[in-house]
Amino acid sequence: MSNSTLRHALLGYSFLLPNLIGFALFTLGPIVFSLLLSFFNWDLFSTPVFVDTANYLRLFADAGSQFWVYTGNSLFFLVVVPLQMGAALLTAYLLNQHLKGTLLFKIIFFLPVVLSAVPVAIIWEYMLDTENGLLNILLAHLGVASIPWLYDSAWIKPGISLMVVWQGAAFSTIIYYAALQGIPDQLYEVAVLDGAGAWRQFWNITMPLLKPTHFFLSITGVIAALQLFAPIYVMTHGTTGGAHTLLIEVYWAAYHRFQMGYASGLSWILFLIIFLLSLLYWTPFGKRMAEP
Amino acid sequence: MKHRRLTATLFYVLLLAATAWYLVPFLWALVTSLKHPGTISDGRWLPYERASTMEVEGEEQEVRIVEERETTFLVRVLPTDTLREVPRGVLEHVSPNWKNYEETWSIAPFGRYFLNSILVALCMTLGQLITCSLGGYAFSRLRFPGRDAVFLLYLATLMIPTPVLTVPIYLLLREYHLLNTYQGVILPGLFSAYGTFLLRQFFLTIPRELEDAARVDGAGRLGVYFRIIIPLSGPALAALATFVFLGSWNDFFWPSIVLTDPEMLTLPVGLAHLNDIYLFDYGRLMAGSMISIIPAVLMYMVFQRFITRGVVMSGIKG
Repeated sequence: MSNSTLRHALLGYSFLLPNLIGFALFTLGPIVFSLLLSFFNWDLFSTPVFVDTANYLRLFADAGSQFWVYTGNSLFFLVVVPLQMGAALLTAYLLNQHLKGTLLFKIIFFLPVVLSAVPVAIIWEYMLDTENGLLNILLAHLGVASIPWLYDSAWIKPGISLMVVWQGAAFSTIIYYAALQGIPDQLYEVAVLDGAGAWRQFWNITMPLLKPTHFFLSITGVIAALQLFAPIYVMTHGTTGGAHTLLIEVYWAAYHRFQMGYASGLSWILFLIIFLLSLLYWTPFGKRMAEP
Repeated sequence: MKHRRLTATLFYVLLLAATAWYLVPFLWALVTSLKHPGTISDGRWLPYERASTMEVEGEEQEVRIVEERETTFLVRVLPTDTLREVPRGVLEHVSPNWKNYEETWSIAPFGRYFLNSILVALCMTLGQLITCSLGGYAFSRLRFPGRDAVFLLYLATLMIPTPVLTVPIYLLLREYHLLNTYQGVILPGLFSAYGTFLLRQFFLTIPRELEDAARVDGAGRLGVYFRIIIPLSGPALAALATFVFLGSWNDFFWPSIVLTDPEMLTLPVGLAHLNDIYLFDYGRLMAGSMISIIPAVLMYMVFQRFITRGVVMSGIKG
């Protein structure tokens, strides 16, 4: 190695060093370790035992395995993605109409982004209370019988999703609003000259130009929806019931039952699901959706 | 013209509907946090205080409410053991009950939780600003063997979800007796591949001529980093700071795994404990939620523009 190459290497790696240590200890190292661990059984106290692919096989083969139920629960929460995107697109569109009072509306709609999911989940647990929750009180006025939102395995996922959409839409609103502001006014002016009304302008100009934003929000939304933790954990006080997702199972396996190998294997399955879902975006169909 | 006014009206109706959707849970929680025991779930929008005595035939007598009716109470006058129907207004009047706040505050050390949250969030923010900007500079401006390979490795890890990482990090911290310490919560957050990537992309947009000019003037690489790159990267650094601070401030999963000592909990974890202690005691729970929300709302009011811009630039959920 020449003198100058050595100097370049020293310089480069000394700038990179603090970062590289963090990367090795808290990202790359754990990834490798987790993969290895998934082929072992380890309860933290005895010696780890190599079990080959048993941790993976038991997910699929074990008669008592709840794997598909957990996967189904995880996938259910994907409904929040279109819901929060739709709500966010509508509110961002309204904010972009330059109406009086927009600033105030903006402050209100963006606010949930700074709130921790924990107080929001506690407030929504109360909103969804079977006897005294505001939602059931309002539904009663419409003649709907009270719904056991958090106490019924069929209602618990929709109930939690409501809270997630309430909070998640704020982030999407901010992103949509920024994207809408980036669309040049001239495009609309030309459309007006062509006699296009607001409806046609929205579908022929706004929507196509928002494609990259839809793409971005749907992919980050899917990733976040598959990793919901605080809403489920807090609203069910850890009992989770019908909302027991893959991530919740990883949590219970690792930190309560100390099945470190099994938990690692399951977390890789979660990665695989996220990876496969994001592959959809690289198919020709997905690509067409992403380009303006 | 008429058409346009109609559209504007429709827009306002929709805006108000969205406002209600966002504000109603807050207001409902606020009202509930001020309600008195026994009236917590009365379904009303104001907190009412109930008296236990009322005037009966010129004398103050002790009474019990036997039945609540639409606009009246059926009460038992205790000394004479007789029933009476009186308008609700005789026994109750609107008055906020601050006791929920006092009691919640004395049960859970919210001041301490708040300081813990601030400490963790500030350390992580500062840490990432340093490590990610140094790393971002190396990846964007310095040429050294293995640079592109290492960078590619960073990019590849962006897809890996946090749950994959947390089990090994938990084991690592356990090995070094860092569980239930502030360091244990903070250390893994002092670096992120995403932050490094974000800053590298931004640094690439800074004209190289500025750097060359400074080099001609005799500045070293560290001088360039401090005097050219950092001062010109205000928006990107602010975006990363917002992203890391909000992420840490709101995080529940990681601190709830690492921290067990009640004195060391962050705000979300402490509040979640309260939620398990005061099961269904909604007056106090709403008071606790309000206490934990208020600092975030104040922070948001002051830095609203800054935070919004940061969210857009960092582009990932905080």
